[in-house]
Amino acid sequence: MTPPVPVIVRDLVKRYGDVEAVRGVSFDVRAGEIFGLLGPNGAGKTSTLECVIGLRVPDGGSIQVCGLDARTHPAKVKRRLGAQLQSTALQDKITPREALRLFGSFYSNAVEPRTLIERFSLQEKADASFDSLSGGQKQRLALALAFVNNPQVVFLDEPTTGLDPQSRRELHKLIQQVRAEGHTVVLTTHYIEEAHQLCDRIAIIDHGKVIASGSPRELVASSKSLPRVVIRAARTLERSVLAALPAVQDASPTNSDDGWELKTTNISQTTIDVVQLLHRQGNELLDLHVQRPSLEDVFIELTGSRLRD
Amino acid sequence: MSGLIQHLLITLRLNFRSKQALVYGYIVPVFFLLAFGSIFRQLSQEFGQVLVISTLGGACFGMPTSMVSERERGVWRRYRLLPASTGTLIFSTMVARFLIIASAALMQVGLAMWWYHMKPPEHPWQLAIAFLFVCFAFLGMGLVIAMLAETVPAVQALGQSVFLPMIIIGGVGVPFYILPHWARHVADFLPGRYAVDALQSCIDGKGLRAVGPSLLALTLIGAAGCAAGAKLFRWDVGQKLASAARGWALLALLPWAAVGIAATVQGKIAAAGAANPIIEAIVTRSKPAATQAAQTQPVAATAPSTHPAIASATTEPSTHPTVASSTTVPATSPALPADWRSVTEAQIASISYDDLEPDQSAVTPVSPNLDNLTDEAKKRMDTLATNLADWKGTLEDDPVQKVRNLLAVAGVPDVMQDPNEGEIPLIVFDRLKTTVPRDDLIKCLTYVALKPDEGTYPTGMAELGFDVTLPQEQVRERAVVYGKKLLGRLLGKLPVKHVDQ
Repeated sequence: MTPPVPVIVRDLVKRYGDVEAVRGVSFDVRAGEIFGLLGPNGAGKTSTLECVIGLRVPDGGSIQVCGLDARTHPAKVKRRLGAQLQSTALQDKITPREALRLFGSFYSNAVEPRTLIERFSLQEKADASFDSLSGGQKQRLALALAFVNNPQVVFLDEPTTGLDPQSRRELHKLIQQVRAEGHTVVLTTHYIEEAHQLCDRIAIIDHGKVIASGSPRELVASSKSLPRVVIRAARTLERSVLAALPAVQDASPTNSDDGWELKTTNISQTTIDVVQLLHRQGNELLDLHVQRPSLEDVFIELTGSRLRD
Repeated sequence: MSGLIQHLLITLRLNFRSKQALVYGYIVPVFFLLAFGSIFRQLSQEFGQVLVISTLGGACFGMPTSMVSERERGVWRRYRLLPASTGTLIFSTMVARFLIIASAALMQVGLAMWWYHMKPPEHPWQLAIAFLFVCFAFLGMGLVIAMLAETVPAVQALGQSVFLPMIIIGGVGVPFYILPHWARHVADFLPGRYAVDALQSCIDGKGLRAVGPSLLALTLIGAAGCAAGAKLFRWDVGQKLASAARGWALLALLPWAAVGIAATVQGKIAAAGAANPIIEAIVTRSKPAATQAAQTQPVAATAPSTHPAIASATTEPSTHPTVASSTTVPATSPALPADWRSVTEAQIASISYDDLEPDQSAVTPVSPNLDNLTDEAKKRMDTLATNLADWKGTLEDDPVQKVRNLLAVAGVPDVMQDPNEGEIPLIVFDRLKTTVPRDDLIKCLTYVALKPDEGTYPTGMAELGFDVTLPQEQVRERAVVYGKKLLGRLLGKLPVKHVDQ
């Protein structure tokens, strides 16, 4: 039997005055997956998410969460979902234990604060005031608060923004852990690597529209970009010589060092040709690696611009 | 329900963890208590004002500051994701604030009784109910402020625009009966005046049954504030108030206008008939305990005390030297005189002066002389002396009533805290000594001291430059004390703490 689809969004529209922030966004989120809304700042990700969780009233479209119409039954939907907002702060002097108890008290199926404290590694700071927590600890607490009602589906808005790399990795592990426990996760991010590493499926949003969706592998596979062989040699190489190699479509210098980036239709052939060329010239190969098309490439192909941080 | 209680508890806990909240919630009310205690002395007569100031501070600054600060941080935005109604969270916030304000008020009552020997409230349970009404009204106002203010500094600005008028001309800081007439009309439109009325009635008056209109006014003001606050409610700092929504703020002010108009109309009708009902209410409430006791306790029935201090200082002297205690009827004196002419030597000798406030104190002061006055003040005293000679109160035929009238001329500036309140009694004493024969004056003053509730005292004397209408009992109380001070001077019986003999 096919599990029910926890989130179905159709033709969602949200306007702020004359500005149409969300322009007919549609997507489905499958049970037990991590679904990412990827896009630059201002693309409409947060507006979309806030409409879905009931923080904003959409101007059009339909939203179903856990089988309920979120627009007509917002209170019932709130009981079933969990959320971590992008800019949530708690009172300076509240402790994680108190915050978890307070938020849990509004649900009939609340998870014990002690359980959440252990699960989100907050034992050391369970009774410390909020203003003494580090950025990563605050984010872990925000995530724990999203799970006080053991929700079927949890929404995370830019969960790792502003965190250092270590905290970011820790949070990624936690998110994967909750997925493994059977929760469905919907997150927004503008980090391509994060989307690639974490998400089972992604919807790329730009200018308020979904411009592509699928698993990271599917999206990359759909890319028209060619794989690249990147090389660096001890002595200078001529562009004309590299561009003349049989499978190479384009040769361009890399930005960071004296290397070259060769777009190729055949990785194996180009690798062999480069090695033989350097051998003939008596040149030393210092570095060689292969770059396959990435989500960044997909984004550039679709939008004509890079994903900005 | 569990969520409501948890939110209430955490709000209380966080309040007690905030140094700023503790200072504003508990230290500032103590400061106001000390200020009132040092200015008024008869604290029980002004204690309603002390409570209203604290309540205003907690409701119109404390609660909105906390709410706006949390909204700015995004706390309320996060609350919005909870399966709880707006009303639930507002209710628990208001109840928590009520408990904080109530705890500060209890602390003030305790401190006032301990430090200033204030009498316990006459109707403590009714006071609690009146306090509930006052908090409801002010918390409703605080909710509107919280919704209108975009930032914490804006709370201060809006709060002060409500707080200051009530303190200065709303009968909250400056007693209502001292206010000039125009200010009383303004005060009728401000909630503080009704709050003081309701609380004061339960502290030293007839209790709730005397303040039905004030309770109604507070209910209307609170209900409109809560309704407008709920309609204007903003979860998120990004939510801007629509111009249409601002109409709700005006709705919150409608009851202010309605009760003000009602009070004005009622006052005019009453003025056309007899006494002003507001003044009447205050008079009834502020009657000194000793005076009330004198009315209900026949002197002959009072057993002589075996305690030497009590025996010498007459009946039940207060442990705190208050004005009221100095008007007490002597316990060991013979029966009260039928009229001033029948005052006996024994009755004259029975008057005690030990419990009089020193002449240098804030209450019933008497300057040593008129030497250190500015030219302007000297001129004023000369004018007063001249006007006093022809004043209708001086021309009264009945000697004892003449004495009362002139003593009132000393009492009124004292209640008003006139800049020359210490010098004016000297002018009055001179006038009394020159217009009433000494023996008659001694008998009249003794009679006034023994029967403080008899006769009337002028409460307004615009022709002498005192353009106010004060409560009869306030003037009576001060006038009787001045009578004793003059009597002591005439008999050479004043204790050494009194400078001028």
